Amino acid sequence: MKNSLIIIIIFFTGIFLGMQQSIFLVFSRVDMILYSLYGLLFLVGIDIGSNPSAWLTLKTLNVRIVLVPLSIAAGSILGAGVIAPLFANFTAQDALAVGAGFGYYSLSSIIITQIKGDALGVIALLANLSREVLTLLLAPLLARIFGKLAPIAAAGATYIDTTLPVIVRASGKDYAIIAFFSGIVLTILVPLVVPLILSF
Amino acid sequence: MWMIFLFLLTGVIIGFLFRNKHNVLKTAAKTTSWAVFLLVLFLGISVGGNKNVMSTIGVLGWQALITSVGSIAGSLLLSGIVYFFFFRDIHEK
Repeated sequence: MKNSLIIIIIFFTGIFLGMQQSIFLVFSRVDMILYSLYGLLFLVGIDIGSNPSAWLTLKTLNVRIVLVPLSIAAGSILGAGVIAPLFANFTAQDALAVGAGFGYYSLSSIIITQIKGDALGVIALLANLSREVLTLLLAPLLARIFGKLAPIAAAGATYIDTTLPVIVRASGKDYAIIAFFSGIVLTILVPLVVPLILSF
Repeated sequence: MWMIFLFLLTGVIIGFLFRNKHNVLKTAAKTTSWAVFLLVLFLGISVGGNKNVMSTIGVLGWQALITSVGSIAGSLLLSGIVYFFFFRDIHEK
């Protein structure tokens, strides 16, 4: 929760700096954002590769577990697509791409900014950031109403550190491995699926 | 798109090779949060400097929130179906 607040504050600080039309606009140059994206991907890779439970879950892999992230991914993309007709400036393609962020706001918004520009990038950032905040707030409620998989579904790929503790508390320790596996698969899917959707 | 995959994969390999070097991993974890902060700041600057976007930021915010609810609802629905058919038996033992 604290982390989400910090992100929101930093984002608005950036908006304020950008509005000054000052020297800071140098940082908004596209290649600057692109290089930091590569850096972030590299670091995310290190995080996944060094985590013993990541390799452990690969060993205990079965079809049932694979279905979890796949259904979450499909639901997230299609659920966003259903929203598209509500907004005049929202094409189905744009909405599907935002939905394919799976809550991973930093990665998805940068990729979308790269391909589609600032406006859709902002939507991707705010939509996926609010997914994280909503998950943190609603996890216990979702688990009670919709079952133990629900907090994992809501979390999507939201940064594993922030939502995993909340999920484990809401769904129980048995579901930690599933949550972790689902989070990793969805994290890897974001940089692959978002450009794919926007390439059509 | 290939670059994206390349950087991710290189990270995974290096992370695996250094999996027992805790100080290296700690530095990487710390750098990650700073990289995210920096990225969000860059994005904010880019958005703030874009007058077209700034004039519609309120609408974009609503659009984002509703899209987020749509995504969560879709994920809940489809994973709920998976839960019903494949996970329910675990709890009915």
